[in-house]
Amino acid sequence: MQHSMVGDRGTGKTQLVRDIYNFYFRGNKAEEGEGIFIRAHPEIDVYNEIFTELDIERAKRKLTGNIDALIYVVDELNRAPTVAQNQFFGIGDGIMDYQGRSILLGREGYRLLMATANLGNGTFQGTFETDEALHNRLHVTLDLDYEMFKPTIEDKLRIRHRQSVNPNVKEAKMRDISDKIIAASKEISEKALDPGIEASAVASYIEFGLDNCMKNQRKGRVWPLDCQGCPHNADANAICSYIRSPVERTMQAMIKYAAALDFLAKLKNPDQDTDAVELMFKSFELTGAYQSLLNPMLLRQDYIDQNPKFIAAVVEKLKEDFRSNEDFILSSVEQAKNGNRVVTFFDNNGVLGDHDRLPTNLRSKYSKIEPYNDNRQIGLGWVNNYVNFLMEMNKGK
Amino acid sequence: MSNVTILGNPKRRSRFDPDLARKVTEEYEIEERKNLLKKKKAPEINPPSPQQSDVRADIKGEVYIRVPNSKVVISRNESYQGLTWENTHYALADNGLFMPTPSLFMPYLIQVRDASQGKITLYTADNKPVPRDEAEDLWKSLSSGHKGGCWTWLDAKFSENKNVWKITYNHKTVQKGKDNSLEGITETLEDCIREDCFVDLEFNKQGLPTRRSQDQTYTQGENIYYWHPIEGRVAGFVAYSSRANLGCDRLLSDSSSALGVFACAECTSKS
Repeated sequence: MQHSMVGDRGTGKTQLVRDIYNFYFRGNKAEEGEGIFIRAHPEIDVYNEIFTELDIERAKRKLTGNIDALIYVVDELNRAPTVAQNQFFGIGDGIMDYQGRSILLGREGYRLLMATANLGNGTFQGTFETDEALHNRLHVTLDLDYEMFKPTIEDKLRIRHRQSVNPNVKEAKMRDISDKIIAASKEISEKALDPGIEASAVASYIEFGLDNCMKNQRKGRVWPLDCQGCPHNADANAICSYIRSPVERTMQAMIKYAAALDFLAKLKNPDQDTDAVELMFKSFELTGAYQSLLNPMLLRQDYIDQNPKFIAAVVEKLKEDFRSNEDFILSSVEQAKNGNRVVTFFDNNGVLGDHDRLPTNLRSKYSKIEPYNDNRQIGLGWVNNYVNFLMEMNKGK
Repeated sequence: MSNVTILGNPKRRSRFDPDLARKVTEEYEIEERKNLLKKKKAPEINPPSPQQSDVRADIKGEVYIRVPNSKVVISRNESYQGLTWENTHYALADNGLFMPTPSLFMPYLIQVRDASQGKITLYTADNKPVPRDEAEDLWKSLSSGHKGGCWTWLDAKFSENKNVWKITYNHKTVQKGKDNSLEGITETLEDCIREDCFVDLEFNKQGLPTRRSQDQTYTQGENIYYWHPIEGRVAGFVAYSSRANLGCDRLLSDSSSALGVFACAECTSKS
C-alpha cells in the first residue's frame, strides 16, 4: 500500500512521514535503517541518484543496495515536474527496470512508498500537477487540511508547549520494527485475498453498482457530462452523478486497506468486534478520494475541491443504499455458495423467503420482490451475474 | 472459507430464512387439509373381522389393501390423527400395526396410480379385487385434494454425521424399564435427490426419489414435490389441491388433527 500526504504548508506532512520513517524503519539505509528519503526537485533523476551508481572500474552503472529498502519517502513530490514524477511509477509498482530486467523493490514482497505533496491548486508557486496515473498508485491519500485528519486543538496546544520547551522539530526515536511490519503485511494480504461474503459483496456493489447508468447502461466516457439534462437526474442530486466506479487497482487497494483496518483494530484489542461493511465503506472513503472518481464539476462547485468531504458524503449515501439491500444481497450470495439460486424474495411478517420455492398456487399470495435490476441509480443487476458465477464455482467443487 | 480469512466479525442476523417457503407451504397445507376434512366424513374405524385367513383377525378385509409384491396390507384410510411421529409409532404398535416406510409407500402410490388407470388390479386384504372406480378414488385422494387429500407419517428418520447420511426405518417399540423407545434399522442413505424440487416417480430401494423432474411444475401421476432429507427430521407424505409432496424434513414433534397414518399390518403369506 502506498500513501500520500497532501495539505497546506505547515500541516505536518513531512513531520508525519519522517516519524514513520524513523520510528518504524530506523531511518536511512546508509545509517543502518531500512529507508530511502528523496526530496523531489525539478532535475530529479531517481535512476541515477538512488538506484544505480557508477562502477568506475567497469565504466558502467551498477545497482545500489537501495533497491531492497522497505520505505521510500518522496518529499514534496510535486516540486518535480509532472514528467519527472513518472520516475516514481516504478516505486509505486514495486518494480524498477534495469538493463532490460525488472528488479523487484523492497523485501519479501513488501515496500512502502510515502509521498508528500501540496494540493496543486495553484496557490503555491513552483509546484506541478500530479499525474492521475501516479495518484492511482498512491492508494491512500490523507489530506491533512481536512477536518478528520488535521491536528485537533489539543494536538496543537501540545505541539506549542513542546516547541516552547525546545523550538527545534522533535525527531522520532530511531527504531526498526520492519520484521513485524512485513509479517503483518503478509497476514493482511492473505486476509484481503479472501475477505468473506460481506466484504466481497460491498466490493462488487462499489465496482459494478457505481458503473451503472440508467440512461446509457454504463457510465463510460460520457460521464459526468451526460448527467446534466439526464431525466434520472432532474433534481441534480442523483447519486449516480456523484461518483463513478474505481479501476481495478483501486479496488484491490480498497479491500487490502479494509483488511489492514481490521488487522489494526484487532491488534489494539483482540476482542474488538469489527463490521466488514463498515470497514469496506470506510476504506473506500480513504482510498477513493483522490482517484478521480468524483464528479469534478460538483467537487469544485459544491465542495470547493475538498475531496475527502465530498467522498465522505457520497459514501454515507452509498452505505445507506447498500444497507437497505444488504439482506437480499448477502442472502443470495450465501445461498449461491451453498448451490442454491435465490434471486427473488417474499416477505412474511418481516422474514424473507425464496419466492421461487413457493408452490404456484401460493405465488400470487405473496408479493414477489425482485431487487436485482439496474433500473436504479446504483445498479444491482450485477448480483444476478455474481450468483450465477458462484453457482458455477460451486458446481466445479 | 476459513474464519481466519474473513474480514470483520460475521455476526449478521439475516432476515432471510431459506426454509420459509416450505414453512408457509406447510401452514397452507395444514389449513387447507383442515378445511377439507371438515367436509369429509370421519374415517371408518376398523372393527375386528374373524374371516381373514392370512391377516390378523382384527383387520377388516375390505378396508385394507394388499400392497403388491409384499406381505403387507395397508389401510385405505388414515387413522391415529393428532399424534406426533413417535406417539403414532407407539399407538400403532399397541394395536399390532406399523407405519409404512417410504420404500413401501412410494411403490404403493405408483401401484394405486396404475390400478386407477386399469393397468393392474389391487386386492383387498380379504382377496377381493378393488374395483377400478374405487382405485381411482383412492388415487385421487393420494395425489390431489380429493376427499381431503391425505397427510400421513412415513417411517423414516434421517441423520448425518461427518457428511455421512443415514436413514433409520422399520422402527419397533422397545420397552426399557417403564419407558418405551423406538429402535430401527439404520443404513447409509442411498443415492437420491438432495434438493427441494419436483421429482419423477422413480425411487431407490429406500423409497427416495432418484430423478429430478424436467418440468418443475406438478403433473398428477407424473411427479411429486420433494423436500430433501434434513438432519434429525422424519418423512411424511401430503396430497392437497395443488400437488402431492414427499417431505423428508418433517419435525418429529409435529401433530395435527389432520395428520395421521395409513396403518399397515403383516400378512402371514405373500399375496
